[in-house]
Amino acid sequence: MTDLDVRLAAYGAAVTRSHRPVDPRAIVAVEVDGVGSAAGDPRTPLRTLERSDDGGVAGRTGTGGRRRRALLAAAASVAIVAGTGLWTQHQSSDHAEPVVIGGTAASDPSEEGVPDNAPPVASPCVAQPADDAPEPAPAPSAPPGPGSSAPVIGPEDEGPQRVLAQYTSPDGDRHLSVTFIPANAHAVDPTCQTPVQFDRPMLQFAWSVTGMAAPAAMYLDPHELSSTAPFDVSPGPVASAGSTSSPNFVVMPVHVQPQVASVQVDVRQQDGSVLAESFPTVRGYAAVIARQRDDVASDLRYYDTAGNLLGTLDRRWFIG
Amino acid sequence: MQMETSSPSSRPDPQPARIGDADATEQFCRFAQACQQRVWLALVPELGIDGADEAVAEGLAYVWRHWHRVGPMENPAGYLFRAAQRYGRNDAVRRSRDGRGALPEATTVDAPELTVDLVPALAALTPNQRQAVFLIKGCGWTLAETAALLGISVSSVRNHVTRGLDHLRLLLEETTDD
Repeated sequence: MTDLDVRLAAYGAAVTRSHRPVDPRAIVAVEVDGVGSAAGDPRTPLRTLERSDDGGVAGRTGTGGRRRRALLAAAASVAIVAGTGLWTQHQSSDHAEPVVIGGTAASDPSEEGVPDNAPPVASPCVAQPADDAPEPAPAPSAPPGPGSSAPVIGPEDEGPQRVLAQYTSPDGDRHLSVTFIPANAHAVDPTCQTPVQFDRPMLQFAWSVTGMAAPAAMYLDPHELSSTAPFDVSPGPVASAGSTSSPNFVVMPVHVQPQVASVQVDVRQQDGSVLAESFPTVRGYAAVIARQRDDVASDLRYYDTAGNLLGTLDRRWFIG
Repeated sequence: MQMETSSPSSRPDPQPARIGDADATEQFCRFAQACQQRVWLALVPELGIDGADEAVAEGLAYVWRHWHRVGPMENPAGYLFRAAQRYGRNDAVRRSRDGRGALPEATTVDAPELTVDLVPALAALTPNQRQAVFLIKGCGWTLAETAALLGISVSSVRNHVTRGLDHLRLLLEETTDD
């Protein structure tokens, strides 16, 4: 073996080590039953997403690997909204008490929300709650709202950086974590492993699929969001929400109070018809994914398990 | 405005395989896990790491949408390579060839110091020579394996490697002499 052979082999091995495999299950989920079916079209939304100018769904991915990260993010999010089964929530060790971010307060969704033995919701694309939906959770004697004594992260009680909640899909392959980042704290963006710092408190939502090199992440300002009008809707079903948007696409994790069984997106088509897409909540969270185009408007509506309308969020907020 | 993904064919997409089709899903996943690294390696010399990343993901998505047709093919990996390569080339043009399209610098991939001057020399080869030398001498592929994935004859691969190595030795000797 010549010196040149040795050098070529060393270089080839180094390049090979840098391979970051694509999870084919993410391809399957997104291309067929993922984002596409949630929006009524098997493939179009992903194409829209991948062409977005701001780096795709996470809005922070920049160049290189954008498509792969978009696949990852979309697949993980879809797994949440699709109700493929209840995800397991892991409470962080530094919070014996359940935590709700910003705005109105609620109890631990794992205790009052969707019961542990509730059946998985079959499809993300139902207009109304299914007939065999789980029984409604007992209504609280007094609807939680501003002033409730349940734990709330406020400006005076933000505490250190910490993981508030972690979720794992039933197959154990998809993960979502919610991390609180105090103002001016140093944190690491999991997407590109670069330092990030904000001048105000921020929530980091990071989601990943096992085997993928880098999670996708987005950042929400809980205080700003909790003070906006939609969260005053009585009885305040939305505790925290936010969105990241590209010119054509929105992904939005929503933290809801336990009585919210589904989040419905009413997409008004150009011809005036309405395409209703319902995203079941899982243990107090729903990730709503919808298209945004110049010729389409969307509203969000929140329903309880009996199908009663709890609140509405209009397009102005939805776009952010 | 809807922007179409580049694809090897201008024909409309057929009905894609469904996720409920467990056999197709399983077959596709096995196929993707088995061959994606090889396809990726074959694309790196032309598209770079990031370009190959995106091209393989795009190619896999295309293959999955056509899995019922591609799966039974004799050489589905070769089909994936062509699909990904076409996407990568179109994407590179669309991005005005923004610095991609070459093997990564040794420092980028944490390669040993002895390979630092190798990358510029490889970049001076023709695309076919660079690809063949990289896959056979760098990655240890056989002539037959390389020929099968790239869809060319074994003798063509052999010629690319022979001429590429000759050129490479010449370039590196010149560098050393300097």
